[in-house]
Amino acid sequence: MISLNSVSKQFNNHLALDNFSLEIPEGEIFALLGPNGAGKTTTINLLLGFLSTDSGTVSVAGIEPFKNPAEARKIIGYIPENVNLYPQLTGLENLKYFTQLASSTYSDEDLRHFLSTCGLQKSAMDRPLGTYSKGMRQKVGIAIAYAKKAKILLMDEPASGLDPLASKELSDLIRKLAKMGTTVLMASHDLFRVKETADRIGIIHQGKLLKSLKAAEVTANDLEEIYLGTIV
Amino acid sequence: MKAIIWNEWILLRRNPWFIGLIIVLILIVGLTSYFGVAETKKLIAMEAEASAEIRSQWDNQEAGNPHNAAHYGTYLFKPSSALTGFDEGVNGVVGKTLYLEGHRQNEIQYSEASQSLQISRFGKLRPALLLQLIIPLLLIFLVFASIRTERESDRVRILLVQGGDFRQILFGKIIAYWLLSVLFLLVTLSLQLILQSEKLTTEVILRTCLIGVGYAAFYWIISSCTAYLTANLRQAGTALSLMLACWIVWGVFLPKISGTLGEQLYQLPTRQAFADGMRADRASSLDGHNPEEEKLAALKDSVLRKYQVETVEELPINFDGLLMQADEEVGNVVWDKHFGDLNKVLRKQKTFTQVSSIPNPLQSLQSLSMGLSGTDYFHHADFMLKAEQYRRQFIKSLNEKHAYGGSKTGDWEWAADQEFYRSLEDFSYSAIPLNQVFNILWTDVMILFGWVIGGFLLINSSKFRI
Amino acid sequence: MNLFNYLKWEWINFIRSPYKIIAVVLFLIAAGFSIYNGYALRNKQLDTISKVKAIYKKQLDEAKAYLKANKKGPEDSPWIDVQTPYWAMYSSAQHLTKAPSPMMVFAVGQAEQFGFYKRINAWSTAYDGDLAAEISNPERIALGALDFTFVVLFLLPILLIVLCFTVGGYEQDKQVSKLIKIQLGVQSPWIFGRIISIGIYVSGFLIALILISALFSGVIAEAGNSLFQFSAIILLYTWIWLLGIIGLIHLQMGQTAQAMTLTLIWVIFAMVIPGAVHQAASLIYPNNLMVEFLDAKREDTEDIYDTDFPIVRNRVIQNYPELKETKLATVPDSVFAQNLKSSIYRTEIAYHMKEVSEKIENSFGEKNSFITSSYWFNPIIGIQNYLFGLAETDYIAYQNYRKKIQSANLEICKTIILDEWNEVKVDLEKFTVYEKLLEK
Repeated sequence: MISLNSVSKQFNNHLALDNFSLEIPEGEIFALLGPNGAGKTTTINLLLGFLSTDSGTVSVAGIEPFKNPAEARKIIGYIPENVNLYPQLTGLENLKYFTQLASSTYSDEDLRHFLSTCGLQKSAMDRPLGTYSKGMRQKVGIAIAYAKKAKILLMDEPASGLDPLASKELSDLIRKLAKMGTTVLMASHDLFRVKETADRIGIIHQGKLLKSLKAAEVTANDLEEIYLGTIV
Repeated sequence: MKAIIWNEWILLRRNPWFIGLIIVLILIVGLTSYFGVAETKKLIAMEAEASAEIRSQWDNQEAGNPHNAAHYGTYLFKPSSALTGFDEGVNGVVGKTLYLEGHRQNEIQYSEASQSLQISRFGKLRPALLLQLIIPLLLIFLVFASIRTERESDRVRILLVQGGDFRQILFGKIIAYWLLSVLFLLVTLSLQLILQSEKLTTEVILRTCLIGVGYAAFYWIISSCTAYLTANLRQAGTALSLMLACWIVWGVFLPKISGTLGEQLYQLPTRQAFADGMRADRASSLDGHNPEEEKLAALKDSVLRKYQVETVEELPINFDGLLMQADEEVGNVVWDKHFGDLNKVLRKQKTFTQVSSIPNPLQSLQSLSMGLSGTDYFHHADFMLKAEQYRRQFIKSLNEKHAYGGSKTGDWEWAADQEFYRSLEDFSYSAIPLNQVFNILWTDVMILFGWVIGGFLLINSSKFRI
Repeated sequence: MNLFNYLKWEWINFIRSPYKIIAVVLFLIAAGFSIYNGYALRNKQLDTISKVKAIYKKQLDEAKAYLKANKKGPEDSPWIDVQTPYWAMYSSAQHLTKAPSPMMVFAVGQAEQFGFYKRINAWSTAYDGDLAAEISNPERIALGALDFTFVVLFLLPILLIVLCFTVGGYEQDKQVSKLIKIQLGVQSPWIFGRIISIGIYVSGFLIALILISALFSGVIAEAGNSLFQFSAIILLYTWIWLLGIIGLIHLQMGQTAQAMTLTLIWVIFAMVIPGAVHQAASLIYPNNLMVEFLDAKREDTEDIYDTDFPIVRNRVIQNYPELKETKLATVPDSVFAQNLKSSIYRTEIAYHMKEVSEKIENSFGEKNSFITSSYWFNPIIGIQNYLFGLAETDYIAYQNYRKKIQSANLEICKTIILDEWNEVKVDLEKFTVYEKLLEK
């Protein structure tokens, strides 16, 4: 579903990705684990079609995102580190607006259902987003992707700054989406959350994918040891 | 795109500060429109009253010699155009009172600016000032804030992933704020029309509509430039600084610089040099060796021949009247030459400022606004020319009465009756028709049009960059 | 941190900020251009005055030549007799000029709105057509002169905003203000230190700019005292803005909000308030069409001519008791020659015109009182007009010039009538007295 093949990307004199390859099959949750500046966000931007490669190929469901961004984005959902939607609009209105942009028309009932599926309390749906906690905003962000029926969900540090409960709820939600067939790529440096959420974990450092592990096969402590051993 | 525009308006509607600001601005725009029109109405009434008084003095003068009446002369008061309340243009600095008399052309006098301490540097708080400087400033802030928050909150990536096109997002936002600025425009221009509905003509309505088009074009330019810079410059602060710099350079700096440079490049004569030139030409025209003098002699001969008499005293008409008219015509030729030269220099200065506004669409708008409001230099020059035409006709009527009214040559005591003075037509002024206004303003129109297209192209060339 | 350190860091900050350097360069260009404008205008006016005076001198010399040759005047104008007080006075090319002050280099003010030279005779008034302003492009005049006063009062605040809006705002945006507070204990001295440093640089820059241009244009030598006052006010004005900026920075709004708020404050004080006062003044006291003056010139003059001679003569004697000491003081009305009667009427008309002009000036004064009463909330214009006053380029300076013209006209009429009533025959000696009449 997601494929990066021998991708290199350089910004000025900094090599952000160096002959980077990655394959993520449909329905898998893949976590890119790495320190700041390792190349995680660059990978996501390449998949979103915001950047072109210097060499190598990138495809999502067989579509090259940079060459055909409109087509690629039809099947992608994106959750940034901070889902700063419009604070003056309610959660429901934000969802309505973003689904309209994706050329979808849903009734308010459907939209409430999406929000509810993504874990947002009913009482919060008609409140301005400015009053939401970060976790609640993340839920609205995921509801946008869910309503879009995105086949691929790209998440950039989604759990950063969330309290443990909100973080757990987010993991559950991601897994729920994956079970429905959504392929998820999440970039993070939170070892514990990655271990809890992902099917597979890739350790990225200086633009190279140094290791790829099955989350089920390692404990959190092992993962920490491997991670530190790899990047230091 | 509709969703983007609608969404922007919802966001604005939910911001109480913004709503407050809009209400205050609409109030200010309304009040300035009202005060502008009120002052114009007051001036028009004063002009009418003064004209009536001067006319009544003319009508009630005792029977007297027409040449004395030519020296007594009359006064014209430059009429205020209906849209002076919108854009005062040059009217505050050129004076309103013009003395018409025989033998000479006078300058228009008693400008408002010469009657008090300096009160402001940007003119009266008229709708034109608000619409040219304050509303664009608001637009800069709004468009900048809207696009900047999309970028800084990283919402723009979600918008794009959701299927939004970056250019569409920019166009949507520009249109949303542009429409908002057009709202101010509509309020202002509608008030201009409503407040003086009793004097509305098709010409005034058309001029008002065209003013609206010009300002709307400028708002498009401001919105698209701000959107382009905010969307494309990595540092949002730099975009705002640049647009504010543009606003200051366009609105404050360049107009003053180009106006002054124009005057230095194409220099006007001093009043003394102008008067000396006129005097010298006039004197040489009456020189005995001059063809003009021969013309006078030829006139005398032809008149004597026509009436088959030997001397002017034998003529059944008053030859002095004919001489006065001939002298008047010599003076008119001299004035035409000098005023024409002056006008040429002023036209060159205007062309210079118009061309120098290629990098400054605000200057083109200012020129267009004054031109369409009937308050620019060309309208002023048109008034002066029509006043001069009237003076010539007026003096000619007096000279002809002097010549053919029944007196004999040398009879300076002969008096024309009151009836004759009352029969002379009053001055009535109609401004340059709209189609001719465009002959003057086409440069400004083209510059604004070019910038509007440029704005489209800029936004069309915008690409989302990480 | 001491002031020296603040000055050092602010300098480093400045030279590493290209847009701040560009703003200073633009300001410098505007200032240079504006000073050149003032200098050029002053020279042009001085040049015009010297040309006009040369013409007057020529006319004066012609009259002297007639007197030397014991002639009455040009042969083709037999009505002229330079040996009579009226024609001698007329031929003595009486004039008054308003020479531009050296400070015009810095403050053009309203100088372009008014005439500055006028030949005066027994019929002159302060509102004659030959006292019109110089020929200029009305659209340029409507935009206003780009003089140094404009640059300082209107553009300097923008420069200060550019130089200061990052102070505190950047730290607020990047969330390092807490660190600064922890390092210093309190943030205020840090804000003060930085803004004072900027203020010191700007003040030094302004003083250098004024001194250099004053040195080259000769203003220091010719108007040192006014220049000192001018500079002091400009510095005070600069520091008032800086104090305001310090106050605003304490609100901790971030760079963009700081820049927007300061710009809005500038717009309000530089455009909105002056524009509103201007509009209000024009609405309450609209453009005077000078009908009162026109009436005085035509109707009232006619009325005076229609008044019986004894009445007018008595009025003139009342106004000028010196006439009682003249040779003709006791001569009966019927014996008065026509030219002497004309002088009486002319003097009465001149006196009336002076009264009317005083009335008109008073009506302008009401408008000016309205304007000056707004200075407390329209401070930029208040300061501006004070600076124009220092440069003698404000309305008041030209109003005083007009008053002098009106008084000169009366003085001319009075001198003519006194000499006529003393049966003076003008010779070269008397003519020299006339020549110097208005010098006092």
